[in-house]
Amino acid sequence: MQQQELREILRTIVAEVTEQDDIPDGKPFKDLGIDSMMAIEIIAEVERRYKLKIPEHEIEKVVDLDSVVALVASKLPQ
Amino acid sequence: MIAAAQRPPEGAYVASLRIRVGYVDTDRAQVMHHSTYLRYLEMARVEYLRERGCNYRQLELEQGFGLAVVEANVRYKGGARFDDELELQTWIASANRAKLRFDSLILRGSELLTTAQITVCCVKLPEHRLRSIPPVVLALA
Repeated sequence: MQQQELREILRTIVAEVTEQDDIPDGKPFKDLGIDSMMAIEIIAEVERRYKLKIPEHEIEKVVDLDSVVALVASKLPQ
Repeated sequence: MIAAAQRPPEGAYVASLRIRVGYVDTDRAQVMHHSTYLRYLEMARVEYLRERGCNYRQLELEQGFGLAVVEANVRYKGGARFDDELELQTWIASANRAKLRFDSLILRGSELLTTAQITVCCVKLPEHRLRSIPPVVLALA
């Protein structure tokens, strides 16, 4: 899967989970009102969608859309 | 009368807790105070966990995990009174690694008094840092 395609899918997932209209690139989640609970929910949905297992200590890396894309890309088979 | 949507889903484990309303739990209007329902609902969740082999005290003290309420929806349909025997039926309605929702019915005999949905998250104690629901709890869903 192309990185840009993955980014758009994850943008939609994050927007749906957090009930935001849009998730702009480069905008910190905290500036969008996305808290640590929502970050875990994003991870839960990503795990469900891609059948991944993301360790607890990696959740704190989720601070913006870029970090979600990087995290998921690192877990998907190349 | 309990509507189908209020009943536990087919196959869900339902824990039952019986509590007799204490005098201290009522107010000047002689009905159970609305805050008492939340306390009873908490007792019902603890009993649910115990029945499923998950002792909440051990979860807190030995593993350092606390289940914190993040949302509480309680619909009061009828007032319980002093000395009423209530039955609280509780089950897990939904769960993911972020949060767990317990649904409960409070009954007096066959009369439905209350429906409730209580959502909890998990915090690591003592620092109260949010973390995923531990697998031992998630496995109950």
